Amino acid sequence: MKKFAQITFYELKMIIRTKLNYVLLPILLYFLYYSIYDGVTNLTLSGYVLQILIIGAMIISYQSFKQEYIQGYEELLQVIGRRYIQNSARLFANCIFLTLINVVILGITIIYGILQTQPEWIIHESVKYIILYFYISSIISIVIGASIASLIKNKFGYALLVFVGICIGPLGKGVCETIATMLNINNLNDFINAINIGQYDIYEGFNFLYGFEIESGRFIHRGIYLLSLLCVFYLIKVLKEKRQQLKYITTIVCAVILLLPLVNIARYPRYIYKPGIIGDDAKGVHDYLFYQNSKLSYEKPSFVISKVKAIVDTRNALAVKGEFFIKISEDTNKINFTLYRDFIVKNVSFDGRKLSYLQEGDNIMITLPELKKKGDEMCLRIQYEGLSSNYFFSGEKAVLLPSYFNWLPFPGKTSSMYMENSLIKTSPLYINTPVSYDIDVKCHKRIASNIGSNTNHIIGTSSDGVSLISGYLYYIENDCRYFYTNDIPIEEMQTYTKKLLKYINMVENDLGIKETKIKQAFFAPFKEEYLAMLDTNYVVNSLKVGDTLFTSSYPDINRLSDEHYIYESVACIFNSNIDFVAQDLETKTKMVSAYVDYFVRKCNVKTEFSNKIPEDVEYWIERCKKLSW
Amino acid sequence: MVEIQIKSVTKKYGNKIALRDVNIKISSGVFGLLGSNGAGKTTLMKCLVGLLKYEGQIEFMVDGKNQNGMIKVGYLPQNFMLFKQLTVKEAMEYVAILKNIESKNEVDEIINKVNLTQEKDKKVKKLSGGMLRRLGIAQALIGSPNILIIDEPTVGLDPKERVRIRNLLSNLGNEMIVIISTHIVEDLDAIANNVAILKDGVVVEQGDVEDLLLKLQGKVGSLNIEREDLHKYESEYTISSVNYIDNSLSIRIISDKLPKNSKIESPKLEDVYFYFNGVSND
Repeated sequence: MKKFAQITFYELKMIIRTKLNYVLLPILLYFLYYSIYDGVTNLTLSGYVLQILIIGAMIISYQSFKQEYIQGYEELLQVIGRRYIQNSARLFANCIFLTLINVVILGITIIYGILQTQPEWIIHESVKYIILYFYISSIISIVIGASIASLIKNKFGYALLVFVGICIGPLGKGVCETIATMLNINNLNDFINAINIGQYDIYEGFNFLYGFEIESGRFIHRGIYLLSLLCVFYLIKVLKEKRQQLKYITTIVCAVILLLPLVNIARYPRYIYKPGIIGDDAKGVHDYLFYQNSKLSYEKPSFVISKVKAIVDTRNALAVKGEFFIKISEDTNKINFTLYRDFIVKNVSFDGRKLSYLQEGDNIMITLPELKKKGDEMCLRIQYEGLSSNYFFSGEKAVLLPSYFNWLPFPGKTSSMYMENSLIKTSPLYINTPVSYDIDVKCHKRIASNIGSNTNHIIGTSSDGVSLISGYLYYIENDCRYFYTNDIPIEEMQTYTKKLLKYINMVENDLGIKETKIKQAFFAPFKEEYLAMLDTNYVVNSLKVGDTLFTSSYPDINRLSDEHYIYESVACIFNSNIDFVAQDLETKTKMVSAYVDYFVRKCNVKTEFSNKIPEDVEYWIERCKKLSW
Repeated sequence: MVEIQIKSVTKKYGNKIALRDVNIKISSGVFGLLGSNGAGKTTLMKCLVGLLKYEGQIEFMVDGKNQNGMIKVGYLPQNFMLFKQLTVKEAMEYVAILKNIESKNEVDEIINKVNLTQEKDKKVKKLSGGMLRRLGIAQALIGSPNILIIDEPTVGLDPKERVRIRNLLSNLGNEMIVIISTHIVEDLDAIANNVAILKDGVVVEQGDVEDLLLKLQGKVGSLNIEREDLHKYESEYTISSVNYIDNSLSIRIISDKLPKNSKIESPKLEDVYFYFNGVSND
């Protein structure tokens, strides 16, 4: 150990004497790529800095390992011996040097976070993020650089370094994924994920609910990656310097055994959250391919759900074991549910007997052992698990399963989502009859729900489904329960909710709907775009389901006009009506435009938007009012 | 007593034979390995230090017993360079650590021995060619080796530095076996006890220097000739040197049958090398 430390000391001395300027590189890069001018999250997410750090680390270790060959003392050192210790110490010295560089990066981030008065958790997560993506990636890059130096001594080595650096770095990921998509090779995407050590998304790898993408699984992935590469490195060294056969054969055997985790890597990244833009594109493709030809239709069930008792495990994807108490409304031996297609049903049973079922897309068709008569009651046990839709998530760090997403089986046959103007939207699958819920949620954090008080055991009744939301979510209660992520000032949130509710109630009154209150409002990063493409130029931020308000982003109340609130209110009401949603796009557009125009005029509100108002406004307003409210 | 026995060593690079059935016995003092470029000297050196695999046997004997792996070998490769970014002392200390030497005094002693004390705080990259070779010898001396293997120690050095290196190696020859590979015969002339001459991977002659010189007694002569006759002599004899004197030439001839009017000269190691290597015919 003493020898190792002494050799490391001299190797580090040599690296520092030639590469000290590299320590300043991250600071320069932050300025060069303007990362420093944005918030600490942008600073942390900087893919440019990481990409250069990866290539830089590779070059540092490449040169460090190649210098004995270039300077001509490789053979001398081979004769002297102790190459194992020497190579390991050199590798370690490089790691220490890169640690130094990463300490500078961490220092900048922490100081910058403090100067910007960022919340403690963001700084804390930033540090973990930098350790995962910057530091571990640097160490991995060192091993790659050292391995390439051991393999290739000519100038082609540098070209290979840059190529490999780009392939495994954050900036090359987009290129690789595009190529994989063009070639229509899905498995290649898995491979790209497996070998990539950069951020999944360099633009939006942060979410105020989720935090950063730093699940423990990613650390494990990088750990296996590093271990495997170390094996590759020592294997190359062993093969290159064939001496002391027995010792080396032992090493080779060990290396091969340790290489086995590589097989596992390719499987891993599927179970991690992908929130950003690249992720959204992938999400879009994932659901687009499935829903592009589907029309929203609804086949009514021959039963109603009266009670749901379930254990919901959200700690790694979603796993549900549920008892669904149903009451038969028409004689039948078939039970049809709608459940988002990526939740795979594992088991359906009734009275201790397994039932046969067929899961096709979003539909589950269960065959009962005998005909059930109207009024019969029964309890179906259904077990399912899987990743949620890409737009929603449940996992180690956060849960976003709002009631407007079909994560619980919905009675009847329809689809969880639909396409409109190339946008994926969730179907408004609200049961509209009171259901008693008893749900035990297994989650790393406190779950916020529309039912019950703030515990992870949810007991209560709702006609509008269940929302399970957790993560970096704060809570305050006065006129209603507010759940919010850190970027929203409480006063603005309350003002927004009150004003929106005022208009919602106006719309409800106008449509003859019973006025509802907002009992809980979630201000979290929900997906937008509910009315965005209805031939209007306004992106709607909110959705109201029963007594719960979901608002997608920061409501800048200083910029919101009354007309904005009218749009929001109309959207909140209309989008939770399946009768409206099921109309064709042209009809919906005319109805919304006419109704908003009607309401703007009725409230004597100043018009800002230049929407195409249909000629026969009165006719479309009547159509609106005739919808099943 | 340490002895190296090289038995039937053959080394091939693909189809090319670099060493063919080499048999050499090396015991004490300075041993010279002579040969032109490409003769196989460096290959033999690399085989000796274990850098290359070969056919045959190389045995390091101590008092008649095979002690392979127990013998300490110091090695100075042909194009020597060492940790450029470190100072002379640091580089030496690093090598000492690699060689598992704890004593710090040993490094200072060796630096002093090779006369690098004044340069010990200089970075290796700033050393002159001669200093660098001395550092090379110094690093080879760390760990008190039984055998010192030195490849082309004086290439590219000025005469003063050459003499310094030669004297150093000569002194070291009293303490250990010093094997010097060179194509510069002058380097070995005064210091080598034994030599082997390699030609195209084959040992063409080896033995005690005195014995080899004896073998050439009466076979080395000098002769004054006209300039126009040089070509004729070159085609018939091995000529080791040509000196211009006014309009005529004085040549040194090495041959089993000297011209009648030549003056017999005392043979030198260079003559031995030329005689067995046949340089003038190359």
